[in-house]
Amino acid sequence: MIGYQRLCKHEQCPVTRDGALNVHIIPHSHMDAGWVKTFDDYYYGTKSSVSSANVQLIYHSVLSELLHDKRRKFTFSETAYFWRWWKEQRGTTRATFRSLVAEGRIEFAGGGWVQSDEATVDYLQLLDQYTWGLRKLNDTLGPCGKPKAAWQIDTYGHTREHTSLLAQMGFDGLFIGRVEHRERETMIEEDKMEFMWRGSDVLGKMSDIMTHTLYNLYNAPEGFCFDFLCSDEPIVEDPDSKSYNADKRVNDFITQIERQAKYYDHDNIMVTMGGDFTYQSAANWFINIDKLINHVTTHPANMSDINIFYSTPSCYLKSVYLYGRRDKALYTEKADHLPYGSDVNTYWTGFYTSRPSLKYLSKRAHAFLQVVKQLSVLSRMGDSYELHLLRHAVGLVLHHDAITGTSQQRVANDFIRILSEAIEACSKKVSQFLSVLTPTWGGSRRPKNSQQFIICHQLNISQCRSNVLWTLEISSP
Amino acid sequence: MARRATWTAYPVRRSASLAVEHCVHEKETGPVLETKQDDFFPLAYDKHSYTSGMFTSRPTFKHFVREANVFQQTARQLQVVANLGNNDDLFEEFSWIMGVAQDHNVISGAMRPYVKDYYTEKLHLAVQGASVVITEAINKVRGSPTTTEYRLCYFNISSCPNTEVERFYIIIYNSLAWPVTMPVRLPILNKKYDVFDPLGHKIKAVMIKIPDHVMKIPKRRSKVEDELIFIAENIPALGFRSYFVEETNINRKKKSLIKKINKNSQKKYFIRQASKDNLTYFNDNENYDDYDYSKTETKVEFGDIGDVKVTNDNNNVITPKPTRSAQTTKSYDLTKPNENIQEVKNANDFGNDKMADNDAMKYDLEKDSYYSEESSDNFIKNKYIQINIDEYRKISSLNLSNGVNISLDIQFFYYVSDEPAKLNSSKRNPGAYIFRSIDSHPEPIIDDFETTIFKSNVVEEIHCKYSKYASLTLKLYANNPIVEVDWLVGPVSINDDLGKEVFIRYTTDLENKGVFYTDANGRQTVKRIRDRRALYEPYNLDHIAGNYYPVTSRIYIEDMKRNIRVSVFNDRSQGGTSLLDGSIDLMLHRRILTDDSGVQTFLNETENDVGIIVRGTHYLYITKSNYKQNRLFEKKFAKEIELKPQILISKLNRNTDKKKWIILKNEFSSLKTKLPFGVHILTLQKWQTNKLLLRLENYLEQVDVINDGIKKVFLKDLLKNIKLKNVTETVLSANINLKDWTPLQWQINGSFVKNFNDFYGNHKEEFSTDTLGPVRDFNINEAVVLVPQQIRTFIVDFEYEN
Repeated sequence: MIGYQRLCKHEQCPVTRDGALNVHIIPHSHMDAGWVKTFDDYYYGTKSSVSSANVQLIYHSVLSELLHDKRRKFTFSETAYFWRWWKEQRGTTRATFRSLVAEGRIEFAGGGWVQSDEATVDYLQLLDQYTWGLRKLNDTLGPCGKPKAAWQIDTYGHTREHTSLLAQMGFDGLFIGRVEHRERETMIEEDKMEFMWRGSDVLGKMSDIMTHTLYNLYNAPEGFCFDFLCSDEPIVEDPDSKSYNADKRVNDFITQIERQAKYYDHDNIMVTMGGDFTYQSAANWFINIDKLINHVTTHPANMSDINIFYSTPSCYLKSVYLYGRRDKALYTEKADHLPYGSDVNTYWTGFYTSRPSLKYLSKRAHAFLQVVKQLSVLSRMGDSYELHLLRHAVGLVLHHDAITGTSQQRVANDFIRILSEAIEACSKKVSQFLSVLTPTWGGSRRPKNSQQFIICHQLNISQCRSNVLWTLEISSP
Repeated sequence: MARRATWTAYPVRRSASLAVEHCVHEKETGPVLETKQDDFFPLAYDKHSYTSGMFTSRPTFKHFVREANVFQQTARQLQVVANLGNNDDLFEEFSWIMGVAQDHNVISGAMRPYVKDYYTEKLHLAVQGASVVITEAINKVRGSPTTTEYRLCYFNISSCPNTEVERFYIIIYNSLAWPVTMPVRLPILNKKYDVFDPLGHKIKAVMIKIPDHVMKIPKRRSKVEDELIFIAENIPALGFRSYFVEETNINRKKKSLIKKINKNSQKKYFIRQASKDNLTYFNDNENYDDYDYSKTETKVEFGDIGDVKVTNDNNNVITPKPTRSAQTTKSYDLTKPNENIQEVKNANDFGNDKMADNDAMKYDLEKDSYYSEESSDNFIKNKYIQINIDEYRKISSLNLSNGVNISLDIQFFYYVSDEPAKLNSSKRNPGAYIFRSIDSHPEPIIDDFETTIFKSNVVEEIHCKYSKYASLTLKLYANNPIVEVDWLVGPVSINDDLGKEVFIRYTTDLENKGVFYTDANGRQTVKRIRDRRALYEPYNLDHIAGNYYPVTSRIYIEDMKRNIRVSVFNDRSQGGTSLLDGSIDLMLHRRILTDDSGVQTFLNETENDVGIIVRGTHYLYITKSNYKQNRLFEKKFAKEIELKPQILISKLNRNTDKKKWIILKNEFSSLKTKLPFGVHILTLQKWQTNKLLLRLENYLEQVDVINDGIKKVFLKDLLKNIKLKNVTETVLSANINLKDWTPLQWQINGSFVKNFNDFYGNHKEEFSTDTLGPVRDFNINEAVVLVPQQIRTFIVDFEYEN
């Protein structure tokens, strides 16, 4: 179990900041298993005159976008589509997908064969479809693929019995989208957008599940649907461009999330970024969300200290669960049992105060850089994005090495993040050199100047902490 | 009090160490959650737009999914118990379509017609595939040649090429863990047939006319006008029984057969039947062992339908014995005659006055019982129930043998579906999801009314035609406390350019004061109150659509004062409500000309450009409401509808021969020991090589049980020929070992009430105090303990014993 826990790295959930408004950006795509098209038509994209939806494209597009940036995360749900896709993939693609799952960057929510109806279905058939879907996830992705959050975001009404069954399946929380308009008003008035729902009187606590009512159904905030299915404008951040709109757009975004924050009783909010069959061109979404995150962080209107980052439903649940708890580290003692047991703080506390570690890391990184450079030549792969990343990281850290002791903690943290991300990216690259995995690493959208790193140090840093540790462990002689 | 003790005595999950940790964190400032204990129905987009239409939309698809599920469960069980080879690919296909069918846009009926056709075909193929597995298993168990083939019947149109012959046999498979008694109806030639059980004994069977409205279904090409009906009693648990059917020898004198069954002989027959069958209806397969056991011998008498006397002996085995033979029938309680009720003097004819009539006992059933007769009576009845029609030949009242009399009217109606565009309104369109009538007045469907009564020795029927497109058959089987309502709707005309929502209304004189109950997903029961919601004050509620709730298996109303409960069970999900006191409405079929999804998907189901015809069954059950054991019966009965035993027919074959048939194994059960009443083997399937997935369920609810309702099952005694070895208990979805799972400890604001249904509308604020105990390793030698509504999931290593 410990092995899995380490492997799954659920500790990679972004760390929230007490006192800040922690905004969890949840990229996701909602895929009906049949509506205006059949399952097959949706999967392959046939009958495009009826609907342009194309699930296989969504999987590929999301996968390749996630590889471009470690911060990015994505949430899938319907195992029936995943299984169809998985069956058609080569071993290397599967391995990449599996590693993204292990890193907590792809998460399955719900994980039933489909997102089932609740009103009209029989409980035995419900159980069968959950059992089947979750089993397929287990067979393909292993324990890391196990969904922790139930995800019934489009169902037309919700039954007690279904809720009771979910609780008994071991889900940590349930996310629902559609609530009767009048009931929703009441929930807002009475501060009940999140509540503990008891599914069965006689089963009592066995049937209790924490339930979160999504703020905006499951769609992106108004004006921020970056899909070709929507007509919302992209964000232009270049102040010299005539189309520059970043200020205005970010203002609009902050207004919306601050309104949303009023309805939840803690310092986390969840912003779903997606919709029906969205992310066929995932780049469109991720490029703009990247910019959004960067600019919200640096925007002057960000008076209330908004901490914004990519997240997943289970990371959101974890953050809410840990909200206000004084000693979050205590939970690590139950690491092997509690899904959210491992918390990076325990490691972190010992780590960031230790300057020798950083020095050691930078030296390791430098040595590693030489290895990667040599390999890339030997394998005739030429220069790569990762190599570029590592080269700059090493250069940057060496350059700032002298000031780490006096710099703010988060700056120091950021160096570690940059380094470890680069190391990890290159670790992959090294194996790619040997096994020739993904041929197209060129054309990265990331600018190649040092300005990028200045922006980066404003970012959430949670991922890097454990990465660093993990990297150190595997790279230590 | 007893319940609390239960929880500690039978700890279910959560480790002790966590309980300690919980204390540590108790004082912390975590998020504190409000509580909710009701559900989210019906969903409304806005005050005009309730998605209560989808509870009914595409009724034929909804039913097909249910039926396919029975085949899936059956095939999975047989895969295990008959030790078949590897059928994983087939089950992969099956799981694919059964899973996809559960999608919120699929089973809800919102999908486009071509999508529905595609999935229907997939379901059909899956059922065919399952039939191959079932066939292989049955041949293996029966010892019949592996080439023996079986066929399924088109029971939905009462047509079956393989029974419309002179000689055939059937196999009924029961996937439930208890024996099931059910009527069998087989379309046959207009001839006399004999039915034989596996021992070669002839059993009682009758022939009855197929209702005109069924004969006229356009797709029905069969010329056959009759059905053979017999009662298949106690089909073995997790097993099957075969019956052989063949044309009677011609040397029988036909003259004596066509003797008209007059009213008098009919009664005589029923007297005999009642006394005989009381011995078998409640046999000892049905241990209502929920009673409070005590050392002293107690006798509990119950005077309701299915009247049984329960005697406790010290072995804790309760054998209900019949007390009400015709001889002891007390006079029927006529103290509360209702003006609406037809004169009930007939009720006394249930048996009392004719008791001593020995002629009745001598009456030769052999000769005269096969044919049914059109009757001029104004009632049908069996030993429990009498249903009367009034002077207009419309169903008017119902009497139970225990003295309960209620008025009963059954009527089809439709609402005209709203079309906002025509009225220049900006409301959303109704469609597959949204149900909105143009006004609050339902239109009765009664333009071509015709009633015919048929009587026979096994079943009595009222064939009621209301219109060219709406009719029903009311069926009362001998010895069965259930009234079957076989309804048929369609094609619904849209020549007037109006969309229609067709529903059936059962009107009684009960006073339920706006309260009714519906099930959730075929399991727990949730209370509903007309025009109300449990946790908030609705305003501008749509008094029709806003009162519709999903009825997955059952809806009922109760008159607390008169102590009567009226339930309707259905065979697929439907929208249901009680808009008027004493009435139950169930939406049957929807044909709508507007689109509510904005993607040009219309709920206008046609075949060859004509609206489709939908046929289904409602099961009406009336009882005194305070009889606990009848609640148990209702729960069990709901399962028998959900997983209704399916009938396979021998493929047409000249060599079909009774002598060859009888030497085979024609009766089989894979259950080793009888399970306690209330225990259901929910899942029995191969998990991987030498591993089973097994789920046991206690399907009773707290309100049903008399004591604590706790059931115990020993796994090692569960299945024949299968030795269960190591057992791992998992969470419900079988993807986490129960030991490895620890739920989060959230803090909540306030308490849960102990019983929501008691609380809602009554404000009976009794709070729940349950806690959960530690999880322990499960030992195969221990009993599996099941509290009411609990499902336990096990992955079991097993091996075949021979």
